[in-house]
Amino acid sequence: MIAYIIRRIGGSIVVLIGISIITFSLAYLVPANPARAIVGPHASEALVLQVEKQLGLNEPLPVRYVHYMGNLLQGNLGTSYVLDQPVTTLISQRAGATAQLAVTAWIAELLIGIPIGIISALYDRKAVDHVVSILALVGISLPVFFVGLELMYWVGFKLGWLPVGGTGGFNFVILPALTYAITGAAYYARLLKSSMIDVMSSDYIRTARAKGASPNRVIFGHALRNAIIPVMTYGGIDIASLFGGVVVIEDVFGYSGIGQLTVQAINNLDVPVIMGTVLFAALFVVLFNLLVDVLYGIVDPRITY
Amino acid sequence: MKRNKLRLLGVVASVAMIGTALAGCGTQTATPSQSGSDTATNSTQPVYGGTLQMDLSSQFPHLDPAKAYDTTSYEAVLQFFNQLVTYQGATNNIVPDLATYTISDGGKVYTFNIKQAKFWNGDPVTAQSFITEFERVLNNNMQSGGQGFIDPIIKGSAAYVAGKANSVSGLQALNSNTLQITLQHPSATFLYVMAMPFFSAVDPSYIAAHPESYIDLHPMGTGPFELASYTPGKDYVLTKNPNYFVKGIPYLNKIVFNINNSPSAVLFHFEQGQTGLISWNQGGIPSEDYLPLSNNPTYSGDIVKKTEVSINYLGLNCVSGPTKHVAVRRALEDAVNKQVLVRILDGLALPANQIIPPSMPSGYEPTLPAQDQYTYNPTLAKQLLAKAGYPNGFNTTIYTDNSNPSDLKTAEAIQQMFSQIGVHAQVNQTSWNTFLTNNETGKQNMFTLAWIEDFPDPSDFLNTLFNTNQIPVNDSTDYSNQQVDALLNQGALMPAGTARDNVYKQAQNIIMSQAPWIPLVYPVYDAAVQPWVKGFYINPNLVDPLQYMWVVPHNS
Repeated sequence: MIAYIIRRIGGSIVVLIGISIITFSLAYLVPANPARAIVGPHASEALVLQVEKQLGLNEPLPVRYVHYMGNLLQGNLGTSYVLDQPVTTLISQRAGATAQLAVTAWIAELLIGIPIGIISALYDRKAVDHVVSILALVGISLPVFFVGLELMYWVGFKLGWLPVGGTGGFNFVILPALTYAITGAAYYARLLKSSMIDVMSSDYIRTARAKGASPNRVIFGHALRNAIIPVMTYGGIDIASLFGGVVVIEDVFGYSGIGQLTVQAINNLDVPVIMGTVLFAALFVVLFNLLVDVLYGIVDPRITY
Repeated sequence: MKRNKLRLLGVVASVAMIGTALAGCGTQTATPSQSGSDTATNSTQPVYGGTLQMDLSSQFPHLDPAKAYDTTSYEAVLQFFNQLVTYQGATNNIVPDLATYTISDGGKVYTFNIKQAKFWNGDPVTAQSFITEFERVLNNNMQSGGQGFIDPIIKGSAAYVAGKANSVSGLQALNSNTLQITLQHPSATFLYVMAMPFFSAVDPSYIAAHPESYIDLHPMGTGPFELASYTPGKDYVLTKNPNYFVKGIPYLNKIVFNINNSPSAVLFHFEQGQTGLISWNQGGIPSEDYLPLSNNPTYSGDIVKKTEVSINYLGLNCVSGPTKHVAVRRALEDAVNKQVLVRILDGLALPANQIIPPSMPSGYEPTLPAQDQYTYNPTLAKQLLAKAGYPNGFNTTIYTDNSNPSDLKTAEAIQQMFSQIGVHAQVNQTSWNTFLTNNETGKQNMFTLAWIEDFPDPSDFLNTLFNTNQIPVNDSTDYSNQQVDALLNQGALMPAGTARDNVYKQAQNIIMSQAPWIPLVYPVYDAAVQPWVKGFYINPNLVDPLQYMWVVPHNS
């Protein structure tokens, strides 16, 4: 197990380096000199050249990449062209808000998705299942921004129960998280339903029932444990991408998270911030994938490394 | 300055659609009056106290006046800092701010007598407070956009910039509260420059004691409001400066800028009465919110408008591609229907027929010479194009950037109009940085761009955008004409007045006849002000006059 984890971490580093090379090249292949944008239209050519030099833009791309990686190893992700602040500061300022939204949204998704998945599996092709399946289909089909705006309008504006938009305490997280949960829970429900149906028809479930185990014990003690594997895989990817920022939802609610920082950086071609946020998101994807693989072994004893 | 609103784009199109539908007026067409009042009603006596909340579209990029050069930053910097002079009310008139002044030696020597004023930390404002700031702006390491406004205007600035002098010879502290500035040449625009936030009073000892990165987040000024707190991603809280050097203001105790760039949330917050103002804090009413507000009888009365001293234009490269021929450029002028562009912008614009906007105090020509008048006439445009040697039109690309959502709509409308005369254009949208870089290398044959005044003088448009010495940065159509250059250089040294205005008009007439630009529209700035927020006005050169505003008791 330990050997496996070490191997995986090594592989992850290679993946991250690959991502950094690709992002770096793409970002700098676009012809855009931030120096002029920084100093404005009335600046002299000499000042523009000086700024280029300060930003290290007069060096060849591979040299710049080596410098970048050198700084990265010291925990320095560079400085934003637009905001003139360290990228690590900008990311850490938003990481808390994003983590709060990510965890809340993910838990809300599971709380809605898993029970629906179990119920529709148990009542497969019965009336309950049809109703739940239609609801799930509606949930999957609704655009995120539409659900967000409707919640914002009815719950925030008309009823005044929760803040309409912005960033602050937990109150500000509920509506964006609910939006994510409503539109995302159906994936969990569908995944769980199909794997539950598979598992429920397997021999060991029949044996358990024959032994006289209670229905609850059969479902939660035996079936769910096996059926949950695909849900875990999806859940790992899901929360990893949540940590990278939820662009559309953050935008609809004016929530200051990593997603918004990323989009602003892309619009402004603020390369150090683009690099930083991409690597930050990639780190979480790699991390959660590793975590999920380790969890497989714990949940399902048949899986060993 | 070139327009670049620091706004997030994301899903704005979809949000706009829903926002309009929610207001229940999706199909109604707005017909706002162009001449809407530019001040809210101010019938009551000022009330002291209270808090004004606003949604802020993004964090302030800079709080250091030497670095701030965008209207979002100005909204804060002008609350924190004072300059030598400023603009009076909603006018273009220069009045003393931190200093009274006299001008002598044919307009070359300015003597400023600095008033009794203190920084928030109690340090007094002196002549050195300004000299320090001027030197910061000139220092290459500061990367200040203000450098070009005083170098090489102030005597000795060039030597200081080049590192050949330790001080600027044109900046002298005659005593602790008298600052003398000597210019290389007389300048009709110098006082306007002195009103720019770059040239604010800063506390020399505070500057010396802190690194620049700290100063940019922790301002120390003289202004009517102090920065009480900044919670990244959440809000900026400003509190009243009780020792402000102007007695009796500000009225408000507290201003809160909540960071929120969702147009829908901005609209709802205003309708809920949570926020008092949608103005420079959002760069004007977000375009998605304009129709829901203006079509709703409850809020339509809260909208305040003023034609900006700015212009949106289509640049036509004068040295490459088919547009290098004057005849082609003149033909294209007749192909653009500016009324359609005004409609695309929800009526928040006036059709443009020349470079200088009508809101500019001088230089605008109510009647243009015949050869400078272009009217929408696609048939004529097609004939002119044929005469110019392009009977079948040509293929081209219109370049635009993503900093303002309406630019793409404008470019697509022009694409459509050009196709009617056989000119088939692709529209290419890039990020602002890419756009600027390509523009400076002359790769963009046709491009949409906006120019907003730095100060209300025709030289800021004509000299900055058409003088040969501005190629390729600001004169990015590569337009060059010796006669125009001579006029512009002459105007730069003349004292303000009719003779100078006429020189600029002559220059504009020559430029317009050669059509390096198609002037498209003069944008109209709009703000939404709650009826309980008083004292608001729009000065074309500044941002929100928060120190002169107050709130009256209300029920929200």
